[in-house]
Amino acid sequence: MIDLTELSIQGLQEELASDRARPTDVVGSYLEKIERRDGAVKAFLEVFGSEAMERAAALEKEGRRDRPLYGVPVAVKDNICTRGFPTTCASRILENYRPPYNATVVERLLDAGAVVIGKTNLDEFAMGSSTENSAYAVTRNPWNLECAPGGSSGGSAAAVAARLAPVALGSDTGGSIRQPAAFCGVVGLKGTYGRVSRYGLVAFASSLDQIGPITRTVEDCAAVMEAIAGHDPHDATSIPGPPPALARESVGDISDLRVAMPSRLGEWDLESSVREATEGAFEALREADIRPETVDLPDVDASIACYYVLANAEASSNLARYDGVKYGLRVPSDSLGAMYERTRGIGFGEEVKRRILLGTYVLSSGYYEAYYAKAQQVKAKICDEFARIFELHDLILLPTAPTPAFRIGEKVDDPIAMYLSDIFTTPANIAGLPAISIPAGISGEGLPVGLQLIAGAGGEAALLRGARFLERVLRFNERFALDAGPLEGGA
Amino acid sequence: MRGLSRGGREMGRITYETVIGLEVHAQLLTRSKIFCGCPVSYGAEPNTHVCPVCLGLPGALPVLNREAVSMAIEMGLATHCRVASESVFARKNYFYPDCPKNYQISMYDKPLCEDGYVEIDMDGDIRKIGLERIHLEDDAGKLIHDAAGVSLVDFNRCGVPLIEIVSRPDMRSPEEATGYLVRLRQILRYLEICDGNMEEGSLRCDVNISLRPEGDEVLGTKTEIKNLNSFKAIEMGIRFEIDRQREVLEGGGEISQVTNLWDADEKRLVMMRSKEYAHDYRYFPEPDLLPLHVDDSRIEEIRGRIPELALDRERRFRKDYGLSPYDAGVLCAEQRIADYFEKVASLTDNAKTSSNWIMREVMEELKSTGGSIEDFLVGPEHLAALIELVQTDVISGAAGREVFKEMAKRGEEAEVVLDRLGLRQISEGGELDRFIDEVLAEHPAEVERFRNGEGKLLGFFVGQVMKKSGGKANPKKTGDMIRERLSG
Amino acid sequence: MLRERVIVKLKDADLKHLERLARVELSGESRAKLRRQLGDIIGFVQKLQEIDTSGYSPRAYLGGFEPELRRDGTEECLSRDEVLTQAPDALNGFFRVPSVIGREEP
Repeated sequence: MIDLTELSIQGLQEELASDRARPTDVVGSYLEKIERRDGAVKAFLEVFGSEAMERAAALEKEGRRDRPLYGVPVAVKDNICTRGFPTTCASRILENYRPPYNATVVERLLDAGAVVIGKTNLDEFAMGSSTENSAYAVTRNPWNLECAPGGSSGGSAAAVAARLAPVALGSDTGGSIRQPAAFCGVVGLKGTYGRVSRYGLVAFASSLDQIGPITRTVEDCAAVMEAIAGHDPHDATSIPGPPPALARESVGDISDLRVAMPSRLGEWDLESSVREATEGAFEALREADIRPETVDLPDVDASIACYYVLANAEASSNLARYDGVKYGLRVPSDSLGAMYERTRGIGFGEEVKRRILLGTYVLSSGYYEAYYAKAQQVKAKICDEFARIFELHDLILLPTAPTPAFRIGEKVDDPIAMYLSDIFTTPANIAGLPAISIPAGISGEGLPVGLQLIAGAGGEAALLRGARFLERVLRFNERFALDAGPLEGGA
Repeated sequence: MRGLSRGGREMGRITYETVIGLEVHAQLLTRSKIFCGCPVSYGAEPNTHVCPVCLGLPGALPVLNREAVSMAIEMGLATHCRVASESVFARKNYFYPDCPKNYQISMYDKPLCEDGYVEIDMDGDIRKIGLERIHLEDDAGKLIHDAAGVSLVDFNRCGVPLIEIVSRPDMRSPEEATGYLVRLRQILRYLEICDGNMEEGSLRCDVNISLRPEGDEVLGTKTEIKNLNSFKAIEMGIRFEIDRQREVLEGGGEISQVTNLWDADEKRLVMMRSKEYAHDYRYFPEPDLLPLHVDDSRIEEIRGRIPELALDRERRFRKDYGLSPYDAGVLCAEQRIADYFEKVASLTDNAKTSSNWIMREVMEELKSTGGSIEDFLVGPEHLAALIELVQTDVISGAAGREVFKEMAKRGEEAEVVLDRLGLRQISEGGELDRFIDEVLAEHPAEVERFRNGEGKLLGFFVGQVMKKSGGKANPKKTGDMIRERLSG
Repeated sequence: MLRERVIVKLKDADLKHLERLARVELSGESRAKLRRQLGDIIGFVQKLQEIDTSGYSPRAYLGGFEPELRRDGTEECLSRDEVLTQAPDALNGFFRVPSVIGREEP
């Protein structure tokens, strides 16, 4: 039998449809791969071995094979609720917490016939850009085990890159799907704000968070996005109506797409492989007769400052509920006040505490106007600037991150250096725009480089069409393969 | 304190004016909670009516209840507020065990309703008490202080919809404060959006009080009183605080901005929180709920739901039924009683008699049994029938009241009770004639004296006939007949 | 770009105030480091002050559609077992917590 873990979702569907494989074969292959490789990568916090096999067996009995993700194993970031199974957000404060309900996206995956095979590692409460802030494990980049996989959805991106799952769900608040996808050489999509329900996603920054798929191909990404997207009555911020037919709409030629190129590209401090990949992509567009036009993007420095104020303000409020009263960790104390302070002091890691305190600061009396309200004004300006760009363009092409993956430990003591790796991704979160990262090339050190496309609000179809074109031209999966040796050699 | 002129200061003693504002929280009578589908229930076993949303579980999100919005708008319209076309929810951040997310979802900068008023009647003087705003928010759970340094939390109540009604500091006395609250509660009950039960907590009231020298425009430092669970407590608490503040000010001291709890057992205020610990709620717009848009057609649709309110009904009762302001006030205090009255009055065509029967007999009966007019066994048609019987002299007034009490026990109709108790008044000839004959025959001397001018002996004769008839003779008819007999 | 950092020093009293508001107890060793780092981050976001936002009101929502409000109907609740099974401390169906000291909210 062929190695089922080497196939895309499309490929798996073909094997399953033609009876060359059954769901238990698919799940079994992936579980076996996880067994062999995850010791080195540590993408998973929890693997649902027997449960996943049971589910696969049940699927076989059920039939209904026409479902869009029938038999497809999915890894889910551990800040997305899975009923009855641990959902820790990689934090001590939620150690052993098992939600009594499924996130809407999980329900939709199950309705689509998928099999959840495990929960992936992340930066604690999705706060970070390297997955080093997890309280439980450090996930390693499958392309180089000394390097970080990016974050906060590092476990999900690493799992897909190392063939431990054909698709993993991540969440993106400031780039947490796109940046790890770029670092791990895979595709990561964040839709328009409100495209995917947030019900069951443990909130970090409510006005910025979105769940999205990480896959090996753009086609797979479109298929999974379509399966999980669409209005949810449990989420008042979700866009009304069914999702667009992305699988169908993502094919087609791109000759009608108007692409924008950032005017500051020359000034930005980019690692050489990132710059080459970006320029290479623009060249490919020109060769396809798409003439990119130079535009002034919203100031990326402004975006990142705006992001860190707004995201952390909301986070300080969203994380107030972790107090030892109803679930999770409680540090026993004689007084209520001490219980709160010690539970949260011990239960939260350093980065989470930093962000909560910063968020508290910018909302506090005397500072609200200067920081929070001002950031909201900057947000208005950024939204406006993007809106004007998208009146005349369909897509913006720019790097996903200024550098490829950095070494584990390199930035962990310099929070601001860490924050700056989000410099190109935060604008799309602030403005609520759909954005995707696709792998473009490999650096001199053998690390993947990703490129990002941003579209206007609701423009997922154009986004995916553009992404498919670039994917075809750049041929990353054909040109580059990661060396499985170190992963299986028992690191 | 009054009686001194505005030149109070000149006399060496300052007259202080009390400035009072009320903040009222009313639980709405929706079926489900404000942000989730859990039922709004009372007396259920602890923590049995909760879900991820109202429990504040990780990942849960609020979705706004349409009916809570309608009810809030109804209250706004009934109090002459302006309903905002756009209002915004905001998070009020503070830590407390009965608050599962450690923030409350409320409204801050842009509330749902603003700038209304409530009319109160202070002994014929109509005053408008200004209403600053009305907004929606979610209720917290219940915290029970157990012995031994431990508290127990029940989240059933968490998420029940509340409207917060903030008055302007327009009240000047404890009477005005309670008068305002009475009217506010009445409006809530007439609209059927809140049952107004202060003891159970579906209506809660916090009071803000400050004192200032009479004639001053600037407001003094205000203090807050919480935990006032009855009208009586409100009155007492306000008086207590006025006295306390006056004492401080007269002693040359300054009022500090404190929050006090009313201790209903000790009948005094206990300081709860001083300004140093004043909360920084760090309000910001709630990102999980989009701004609430209300258009004119929705407002008009909701306005159509509003019934005739108490004040208007009182005015109508005075005009159409000729009732006194006091009577109209008593009958309209509760909407159902006013409904009952109108039914009875239309059937008997006698508003005054109907109102008397209701204000006396009916309300006394309800008071003694503790029952409500909705469950009352004497329906308006039956009361009207009884009143008819008394009006037409079939039974005496006293007998009528006896019949009424019987009817209230089992809901029997008047005629049935009447016959069973044998209370039909004897008003016609035959039997009455016979009784009269007997009496006149037995008292010839008195007959003679009556014929000679002692008219007041009529009462004596009537009394004798009443005795003989066992109280059943119609006294008026008897008197007429005797007079007729003896005039010849 | 943001490489030039504005220096902001956070006073210890300010940090204590934030700890209290956020109910987070910082350990002795990490306090100094966190205070410095927070100062750096606050300096980092000072960038906002340089941005000309005249003509822009604070924007909290992206807009684009009217949300549907929920019909006032009841839905299934969690069972009490599900609710309390993960409670750190419970008694007779209630969550149990240490008392609030005095009448102060903690």
